[in-house]
Amino acid sequence: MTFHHWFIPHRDTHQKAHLISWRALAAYIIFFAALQSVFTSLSITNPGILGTSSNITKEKVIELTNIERGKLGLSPLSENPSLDSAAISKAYNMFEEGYWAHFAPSGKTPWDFILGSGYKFSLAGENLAKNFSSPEDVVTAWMNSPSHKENIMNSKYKDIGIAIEDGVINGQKTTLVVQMFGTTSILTAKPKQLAKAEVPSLIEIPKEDVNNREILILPEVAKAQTSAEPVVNPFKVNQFLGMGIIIFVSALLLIDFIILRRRGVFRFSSSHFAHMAILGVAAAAITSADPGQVGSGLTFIYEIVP
Amino acid sequence: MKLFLKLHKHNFLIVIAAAFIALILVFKFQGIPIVQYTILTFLVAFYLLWATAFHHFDKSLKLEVMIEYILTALLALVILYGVLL
Repeated sequence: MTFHHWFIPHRDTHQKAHLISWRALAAYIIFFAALQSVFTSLSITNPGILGTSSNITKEKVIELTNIERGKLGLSPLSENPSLDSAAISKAYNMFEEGYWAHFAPSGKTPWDFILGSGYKFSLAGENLAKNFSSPEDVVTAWMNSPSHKENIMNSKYKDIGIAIEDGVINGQKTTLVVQMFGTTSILTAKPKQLAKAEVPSLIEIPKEDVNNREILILPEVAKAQTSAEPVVNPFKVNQFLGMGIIIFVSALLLIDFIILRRRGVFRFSSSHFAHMAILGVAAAAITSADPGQVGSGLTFIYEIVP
Repeated sequence: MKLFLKLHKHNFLIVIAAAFIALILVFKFQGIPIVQYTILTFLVAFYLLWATAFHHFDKSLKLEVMIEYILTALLALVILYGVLL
């Protein structure tokens, strides 16, 4: 077994290079499956060691949001301390209960946090994002999502609150961005098409509930877990190694095809081009992948009796 | 018959065409990884069906040949699972 037989077909038998044989393919699969197992184990045994880090600031997200509104001639939103507080409470609740959604497993709703902060809204909305590395990427992703864009471009909103918090969800260091919108003005007409979310779109809260809200207290435990920077970013590792293997295997398949053509030999084998097509699409998906996620935006109304 | 054989010889172009459509869809659904993964899963299923049909008509359907297709498909899926999901 000579060195070059690992990379090019055998001179006499014309067998495939060892590194694109079925045994090698099986080895690559086992390697990647093992890698996922290692990441899963690490996220359980050493929470916070895996994840992403970001440089998103609250001020920049508000500025970019207002720039987008300005493009449509809408008035800029003012930062509201109560909505800021509600957004922070929501972010910490997600770390505490280990979820990323508008509605908590315990049943807490976005308006629990907003009303709990003392902001008596007539119309409010919530956008969520996680694991983006820059504020531009967050706002661009929201603007590319119709339900988030609807929130950003809603002319009825007057106030905005933002929370950008690092914590651990499912064992991975996560940067959450919570954007809350609201207005306390009494609406003259019920807004149309309020929500595009995975939950009931229009929810009315009994008025007496407003007075029974408790101010949510930020959990100190969640904050303590976020002090250290993550050591490994599983997304980057998977992206780098996955792309490397795909390019490597595709290159060897191409070399195999060219050499067989030059030798003028025929071998009962699978189709080189079919393999390369599948691997090519996989490579494109890897290239287009982004660890940042935005889910869907949520708008909700609190019916106020004038 | 000659035309059929000629077309048969190049019918890997069907997979290339399917891959091209999948490529467009992958970029269209950029930012929605679960949809991208589903597209790739359908493409891989089509690729395996095509491979079975192609080698059956080519009278070259052998276990070792199909293993190569299955392993290539699994490799693509396992790598994308790590990146997208």
